[in-house]
Amino acid sequence: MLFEAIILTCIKELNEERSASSIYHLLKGKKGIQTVQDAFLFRLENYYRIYPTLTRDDFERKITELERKKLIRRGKESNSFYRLTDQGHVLLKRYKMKCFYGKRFGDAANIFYSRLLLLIQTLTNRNMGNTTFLPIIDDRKIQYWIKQIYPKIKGKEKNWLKGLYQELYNLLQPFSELEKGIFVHRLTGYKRYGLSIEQLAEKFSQDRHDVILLLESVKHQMYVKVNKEKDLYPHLSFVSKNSIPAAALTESAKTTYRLLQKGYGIEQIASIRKLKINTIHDHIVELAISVPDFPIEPFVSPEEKMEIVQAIKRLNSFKLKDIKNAVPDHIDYFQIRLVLSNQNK
Amino acid sequence: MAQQLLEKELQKYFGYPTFRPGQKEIIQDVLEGTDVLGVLPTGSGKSVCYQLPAMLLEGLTIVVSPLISLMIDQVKQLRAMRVPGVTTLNSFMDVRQRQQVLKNLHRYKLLYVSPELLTHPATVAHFKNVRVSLFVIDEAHCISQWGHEFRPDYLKLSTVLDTLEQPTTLALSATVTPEVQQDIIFSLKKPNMKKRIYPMDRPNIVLAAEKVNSDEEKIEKIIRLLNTYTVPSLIYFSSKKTAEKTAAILAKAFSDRHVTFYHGGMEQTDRIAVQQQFMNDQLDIICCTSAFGMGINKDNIRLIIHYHLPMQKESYIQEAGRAGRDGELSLSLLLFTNQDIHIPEQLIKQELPEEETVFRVFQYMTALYNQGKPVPEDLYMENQFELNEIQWRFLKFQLEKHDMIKGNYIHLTTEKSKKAYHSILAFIRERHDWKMKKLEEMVQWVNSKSCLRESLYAEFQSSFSPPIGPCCSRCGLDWGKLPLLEKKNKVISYNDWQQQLKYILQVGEDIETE
Repeated sequence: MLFEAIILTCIKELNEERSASSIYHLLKGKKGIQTVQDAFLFRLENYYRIYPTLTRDDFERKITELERKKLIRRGKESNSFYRLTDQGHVLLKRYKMKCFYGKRFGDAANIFYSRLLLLIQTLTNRNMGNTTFLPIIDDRKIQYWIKQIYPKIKGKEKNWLKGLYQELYNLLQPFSELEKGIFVHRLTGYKRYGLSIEQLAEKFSQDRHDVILLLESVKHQMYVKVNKEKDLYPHLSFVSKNSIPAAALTESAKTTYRLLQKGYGIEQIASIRKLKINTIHDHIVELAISVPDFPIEPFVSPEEKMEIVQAIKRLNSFKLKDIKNAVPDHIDYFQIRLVLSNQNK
Repeated sequence: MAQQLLEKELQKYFGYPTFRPGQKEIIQDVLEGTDVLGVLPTGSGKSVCYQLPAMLLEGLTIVVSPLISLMIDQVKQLRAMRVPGVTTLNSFMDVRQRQQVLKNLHRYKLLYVSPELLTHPATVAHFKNVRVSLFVIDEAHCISQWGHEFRPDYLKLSTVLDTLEQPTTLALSATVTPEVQQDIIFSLKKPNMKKRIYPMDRPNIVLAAEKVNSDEEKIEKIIRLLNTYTVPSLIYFSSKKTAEKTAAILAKAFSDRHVTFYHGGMEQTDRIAVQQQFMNDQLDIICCTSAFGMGINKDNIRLIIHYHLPMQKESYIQEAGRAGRDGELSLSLLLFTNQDIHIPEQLIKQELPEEETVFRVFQYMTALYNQGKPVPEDLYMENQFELNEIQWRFLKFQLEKHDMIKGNYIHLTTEKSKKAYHSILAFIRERHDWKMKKLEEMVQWVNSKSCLRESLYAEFQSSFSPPIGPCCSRCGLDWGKLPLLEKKNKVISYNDWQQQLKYILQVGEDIETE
């Protein structure tokens, strides 16, 4: 149900202005600037990258299913655009949506969670005198983190386990029985490997998509809570320290940014970097979204900006093509995207 | 190295007090610089034959292995055991990670690498700068077209050996006929290779094959068997879907036991979780495809059931051989219906490209050549012509063999193309017929009226050891009365989330929670 509700929410917010596959990219967390920009534009940034392992097949199957259940139907203009049916609206209204913080804290929450899982596995094994076990987290960065911090913990395993227990116990209180169950049975301890997604789905009689998404939502909420009340969660906030990945910008956009700051123009940058103008445009839109106070004035005059803003208001739409048709010819797509990037921040 | 010393090193690095049959002989050979073809039965600890020398020899040991997931598992297990200097090079890694490994080759003792990466010219160059003291070809039957899993890339290994100036070479396999053994030696161009062949029959495994009338009857039989014996069990399927479905049925039928499924379509983390749960006795029954098993060191599996017909005896021997590694009595049961042959037939078809597709690929290559364009990406070709990975790899290798593709370039003349086309089609037919012949042998075996043990191994070796328990279902078997060692897993798992959290975090009752 959660998976369906999320897709329904996205379809509702996209308002037939973007195709179904943009939802797929959103949930999967595609790095392309179009996806990131749309996420903000349609206020869907909280769902950004909440399901990175989603496959195209599963997604399309779900869309077909929603259509069959008459919760959505194909849009008037194009086959790949959908809208909610009345039934879909009713269902969505009744559903209590789970909380996500995808774009803002999703990555950090996952780093936090992976560290926590590996730390618990390490602590419980060490506490039993076992130093050789197969780490459940593959990520070398997470393994490196454990290696770095472990000297501080060494010898205090018992206290740490007690502390983590106490804090997780408190932290889990507000969640439903189902969410608590999924969270604790996913944990791996000494000689006890946590349940796989499939096993959790079977144990709790849930759809596997929902298990994945429920767990994701729990991770996000835990992360936010721990960071809001650091004093209440000393052990967990230690685990979450510095888990925000370095700048969200792509390397290439950073290079473009440096050149912009040195005073080069778009065409110059394109020729220096041997890239297409369009690529540089993408970088600038990315910068406008991610860098606070990034000035868009060098690329859009105040008059042009006004034209675009008014067109958006008049049309009540974020559809690039419609906006383009409604503004004077000298205004291009790049300028429209820049103004849009400023809309929902 | 003196005898006791080797045992001491074995204990030091891997924690085993003694060698299993064959290991020590092979290790001594390679330490002395002798090329060896080692054939050891499944579950006999083949990997120690090169892992220990890798630690003892100066320089690098390269292990070519066909299955990436298996390589990754091995590296992980070695690292967990704190064996130093182990790494891998495979196509799951991105370019930067691979460069990192290639630049630091001198720091490693043991490197697992996939054949397609090793044979890549850019990779081979790096190996010239380090001393390669041992070159290991795991699953060496992949080099032979008459082995049960032919991998074209393996044929290029003899060239790699030339480039590396012929380091000591160890070729390992579990199930190969004498014919394939010769083919391996021939393909590696090492006629003086020493053969160390150990019998593959397993006297502690009772063999059973039984014909039933329907899939429902298979399920009935399985349930009855699992009712009789509470033992760690594996059930093999050819189809992921059937494996999942059956796992659900069995989970319902045995609410007190832990049942799950495993196949290649699952995420890496979950695959590891299931493997580890099984090894830790958290799981009793796994419904799986052939993706499960390789590299699993669980020695108390007592029951192996085949729900579908394996494609040839070699795969059957390998899968059945995962039972009873500890030498205790175990049972391997194959269930089949008369209709079952259609599944492996279908699978054989899927391994080879269709004639019509080959025709279209040739047309396309000609067009590309005329436009002066290079060979497209693998993924593009696979999508464009609806080829699966195995089919395109097969076809690409054939095109390379006929000099129509060199690196990324297409070379062709009408004359050459015509000849290659017909020769490739002929080869596909030949492969197909050969696989069908292997399948036919399998079918004959399950239907045979005489001793299953004798006919299973006849092709591979001249005799077999007397079984420690009943021999097989043809020689007489009392189903309900096999003295299989029972293993009741007491998996602790609390329905109450707080109890479970306490249990995992090893927190006693003395903690105040409210």
